[in-house]
Amino acid sequence: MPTLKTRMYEFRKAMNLQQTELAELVGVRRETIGKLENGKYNPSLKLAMDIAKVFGTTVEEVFSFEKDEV
Amino acid sequence: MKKTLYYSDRVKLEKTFLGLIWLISGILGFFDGIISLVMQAASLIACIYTLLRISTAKMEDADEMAEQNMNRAKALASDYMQIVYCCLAIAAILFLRNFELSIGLNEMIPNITFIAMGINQLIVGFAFRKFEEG
Repeated sequence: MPTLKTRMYEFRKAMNLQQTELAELVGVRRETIGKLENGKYNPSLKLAMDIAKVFGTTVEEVFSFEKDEV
Repeated sequence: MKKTLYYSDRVKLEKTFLGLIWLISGILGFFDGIISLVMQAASLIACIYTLLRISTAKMEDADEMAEQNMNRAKALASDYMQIVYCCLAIAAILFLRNFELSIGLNEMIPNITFIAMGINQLIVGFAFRKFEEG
């Protein structure tokens, strides 16, 4: 199964945002942002788009899938 | 200013704590005597206090991850409860078919219902916590 790779931490730091602030901006809990940054939760398309919008970029720039090596 | 009750804390109270209270109440229901009655009354008070606290607190809304984890926890609890019921049914068929039981169903059913509800809620509470911790 492909693994979710995310650059959320990178973008968040660049914008000098706290997890709590980003969570408020996209309407989720802080825990969800933490899980997303660690690649432990696959967001819905809406949430992914909301996050990308906050960062002023595209969904593909923030999230990508990496195929597991066999 | 009201303190916000986080969603995970709400689940802890609603599912884990109340589940434990249902379970204890159900078990205590099998015993006669004043101590059992006092403990059941204490459980009821704790239950009412918890429900009041939940209903009056300012609450954090569940987001999509919380909803997904709650659905997974409920599905898991349902699966486990089905296994428990199947095991009980098989045990009853295998071991109790030769016995003629005389039990007061009017007393048994409420207690067993409380126990089953308690176990179900406890599984939901613990599973949700496990999923949230990832």
